[in-house]
Amino acid sequence: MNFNLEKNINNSIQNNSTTAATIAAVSTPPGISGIAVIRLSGKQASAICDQLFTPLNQNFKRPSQMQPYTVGVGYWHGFEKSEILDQVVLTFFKAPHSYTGEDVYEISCHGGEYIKEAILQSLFDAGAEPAGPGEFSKRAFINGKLNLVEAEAVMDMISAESSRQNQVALQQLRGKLSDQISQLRDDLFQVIAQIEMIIEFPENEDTLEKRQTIVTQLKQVKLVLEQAVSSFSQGRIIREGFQVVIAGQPNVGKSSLLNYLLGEDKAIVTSKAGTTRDIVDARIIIDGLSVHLTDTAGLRLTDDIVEKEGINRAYQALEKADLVFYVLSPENPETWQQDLTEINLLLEKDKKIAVIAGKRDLSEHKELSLYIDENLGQLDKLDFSAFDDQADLSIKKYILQTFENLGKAESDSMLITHLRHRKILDQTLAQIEQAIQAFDGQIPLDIVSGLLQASAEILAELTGDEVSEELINTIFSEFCVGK
Amino acid sequence: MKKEDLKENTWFAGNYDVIVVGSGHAGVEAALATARLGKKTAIFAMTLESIANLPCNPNIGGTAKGQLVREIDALGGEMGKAADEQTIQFRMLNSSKGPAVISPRAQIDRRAYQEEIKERLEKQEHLELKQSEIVDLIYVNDQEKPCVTGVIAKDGMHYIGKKVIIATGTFLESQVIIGDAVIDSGPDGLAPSIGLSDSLRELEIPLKRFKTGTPVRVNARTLDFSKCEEQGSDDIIVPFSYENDENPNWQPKAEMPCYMTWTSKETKELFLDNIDRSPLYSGVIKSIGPRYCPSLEDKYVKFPQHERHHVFLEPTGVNTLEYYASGLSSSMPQDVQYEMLKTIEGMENAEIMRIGYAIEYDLIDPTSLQLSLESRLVDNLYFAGQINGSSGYEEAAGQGLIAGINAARSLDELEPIVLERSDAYLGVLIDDLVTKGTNEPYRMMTNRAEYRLVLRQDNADRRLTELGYEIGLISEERYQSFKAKIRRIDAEIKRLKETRIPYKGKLSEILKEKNSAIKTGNVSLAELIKRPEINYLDLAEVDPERPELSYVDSFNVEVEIKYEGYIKLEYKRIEKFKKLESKKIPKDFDYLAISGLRAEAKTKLDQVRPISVGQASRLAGVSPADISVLIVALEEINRRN
Repeated sequence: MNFNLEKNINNSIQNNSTTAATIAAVSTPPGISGIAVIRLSGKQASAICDQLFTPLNQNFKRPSQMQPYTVGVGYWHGFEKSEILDQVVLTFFKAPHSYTGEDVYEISCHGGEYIKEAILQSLFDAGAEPAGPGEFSKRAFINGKLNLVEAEAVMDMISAESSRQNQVALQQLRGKLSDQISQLRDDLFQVIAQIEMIIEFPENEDTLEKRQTIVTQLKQVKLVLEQAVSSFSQGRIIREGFQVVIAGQPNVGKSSLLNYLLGEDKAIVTSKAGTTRDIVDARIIIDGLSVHLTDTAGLRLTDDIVEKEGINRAYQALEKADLVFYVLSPENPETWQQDLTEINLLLEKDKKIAVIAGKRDLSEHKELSLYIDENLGQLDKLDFSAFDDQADLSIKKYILQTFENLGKAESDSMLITHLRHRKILDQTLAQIEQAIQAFDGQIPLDIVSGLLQASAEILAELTGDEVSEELINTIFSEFCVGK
Repeated sequence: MKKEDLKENTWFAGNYDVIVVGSGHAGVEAALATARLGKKTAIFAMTLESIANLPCNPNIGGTAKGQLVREIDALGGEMGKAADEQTIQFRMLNSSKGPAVISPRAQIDRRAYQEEIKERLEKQEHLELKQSEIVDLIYVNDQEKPCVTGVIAKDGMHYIGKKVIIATGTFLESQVIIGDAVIDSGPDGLAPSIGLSDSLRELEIPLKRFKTGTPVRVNARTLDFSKCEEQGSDDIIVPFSYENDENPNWQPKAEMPCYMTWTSKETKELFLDNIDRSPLYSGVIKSIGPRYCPSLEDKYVKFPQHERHHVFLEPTGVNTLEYYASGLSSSMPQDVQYEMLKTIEGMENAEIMRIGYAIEYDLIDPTSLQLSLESRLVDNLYFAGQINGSSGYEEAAGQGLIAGINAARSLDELEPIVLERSDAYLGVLIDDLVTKGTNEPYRMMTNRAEYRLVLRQDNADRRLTELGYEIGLISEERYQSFKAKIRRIDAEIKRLKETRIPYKGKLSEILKEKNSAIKTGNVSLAELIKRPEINYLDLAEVDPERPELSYVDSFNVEVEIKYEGYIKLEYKRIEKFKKLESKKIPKDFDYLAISGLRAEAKTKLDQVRPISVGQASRLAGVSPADISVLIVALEEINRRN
């Protein structure tokens, strides 16, 4: 009897695999590289590989004869053995112990664009289908290899660049955030239950005392939510990096500040050119915090189209800045007035600004310093000289301190790192505020209860306790083709 | 019994499209529905004297139940119309607690109600009313699952039916328990129904056993109402049926007050002293009773902080002195119940006419049903009412109506009517029973409905009349008058939004009196109604152009305006909810092949075969993580196809 049951289940697993297509995609990032990996997953994987792969010698077997978790070396052909495309290494993972839970072959080929394309095409010709974005992961998910709540955190860990990022992602993976949200939902349900008792049972009268207890509890929930929301600025920064934008007039020493900050950390810096030559992005790690530095085009009125575009981008970068280093130079006092205007504009946008009094080694520096003290006394001022070894340290310390001051998140309180989470918490907060207002304003209890019910539902979406397709799609949309 | 085992000598008594077993509130609605949809129907009562009995409380409606009655009426059912004819007291409950939970409730002249319903059955074309106890089902078993083809009566006659609806209420193998006395009996001293349970067992339909109860009935001649608080009808009396709502001549047949008193410290002492004699606690009763309708001994044990409890004395009819003592439901031994009355103000000398009792009965596990109320295990067999684990007349009637409609539609090869949780309390009721099952008699409550602000008593017709018309239970005449009414209401809402009046004269007087803000310039009537302290009716004096609307309609107008923002929010939630409801799962979907589902979820899904991802998400044992896996799996299949 038991035996039969098992057999039935096995049969149905096989049936299921035949309905799902065998899929293929390049799993390494686009661009030329030493080697690239092409992944093939599905019931037909071994049959497809058999058509296209010839073992190098008798030490290696045909794909369908390979032992699981071994490699084969051999030649990869075009469809119907037309030509040899590459010499490849083939790794075989047998279902269900593979990333997707299906039979998986990974083809390690040389990393040229042509080779990758040609091998992929051969796979399609032999019956594979192109994998959609995140489709390998979706299959892993369907086959129980990956759970949804983890998926988001897994993505974060893959892309983590700093120890702080990794730590937060790890905490989320362990379900710390889920636990905190569940606690919050329990608190909400407590309040809802009290209101429902009053509604449903005439014996439970609607007294002022009961109402006060309810409001107190609601305000407590609101407080926790507010703390969580305010932790987002810090949480997001940990996840995305602290955005420091260097701005100022042309030729005030912005680039030397950037280079200076990069200098010490060359080994761990990844620097890439921006979309225009006028913006340079770089990443440094300060005490485990990932800091994203952006050097911008000098802000000035110009008719030059290219420069204008550069300046536009400078303003875009400033929009996203967590901290702006506004550099003034002692060499051009004629622009100081304009600097004041720019700084005030940024201040209106609630930007955190530190003024850098550059080129401290010059004798005119004193006047600049005085000017800043007089006109921008409320802002932090940092002196900088490219020839000063210590300046670098103090500026880095300043960046770190600014970050630490952002949100006074205690180690136990909730830390929000995802915009998605932030949006959900914002919506929940808005609902709860509305409920408190309604409660104060003679709105009947059933409506208040409805508002709280709605906020609990929204909150549940954060942890996946309330399933919504949007959530699933959002999470998988972060996975790219080949993942 | 199997068709081939039918003895030669069983006399064949008739051939029907639909056979309804049981003539309580579920059976009545089911039989009227199928007959009105043109199906030749037979309804069986164990005795014609007990049709549509109200063996528990003598009222219809109440919190959430009033909404159910209106929904039944909007779909073309009978309960509301019959109740309106026999109303002897009326109250709109929860009026201070909000628009979603406001519920109509009427005290009913019990005997007259039964007569009323019996007459309606008798007059119904295509319907035969029969006194006979059905004890067995006839079925064939040559297909994938058994298929019911008829019923056998205790007297040996058998009837052939294409569809059979079982609505036996609390009568199956029922036992009445008073103290340590256990009596084979149905409610109200009626005979229990013996035999049908075995027949269901033979068909492998899972059975359970529940308990419910009822309080003493006392003679009003021996009550001292002067010691009680009188509760008359509300000033405005509202009929259940939308038909009567339109009828200016409608009025309740009589006005009889209820009376309120309290249990005392002595009552509590008496019960706690004798608690070991309660069958609930002595172990005589092992089945599960309703949490939301507890007996007095239950209340003392579960809510020890409450020193006293309400007792409502409710009239049971115009021509009787028998009063129902709501709140005193108990299965304590007789002597304790007698002593109990002596401790209650106004009841000290009360003469008991019927003793309070608990009753145990067989029911089927409702998770063995489909959302159409047809059995998943046996073809052509439907179940409705308390046999499905519900409690209450209104819950029973609603299921009866839906089972009847779906049996008739199945004969016409039409898709069954399945109401969504966001459509009606009826949808919530059936989905809860079928999808989640129940471990106690299921009483409808407003908070079981996630979208109760939309499922109000004042808009049941707007939600369901259209459907009732499509089904064929709402007449053309009523449908036209419904449409005219909707136009009237919509026009009135529009008018109130567009009409602006100055903050002067009479308006400022009204606002001052209501402690409401007075500003300068003009204000729209709708904006005024949105203020919590101002009602639609308050503004009548400053609004001479107002059309005449019935009470329910003007209430509807007021709610739609006053709570517009909140209602919109509710619709947004419904929209989100419907996304998963509209994600249908193919009938032959292979859950066992999805290894990402947990084993428990796989088994449950494979067994219940939910129609949508939404229904799947409500199954016990299926977690949100399972649902996510299911969604992705369905999506992948769709994409590949």
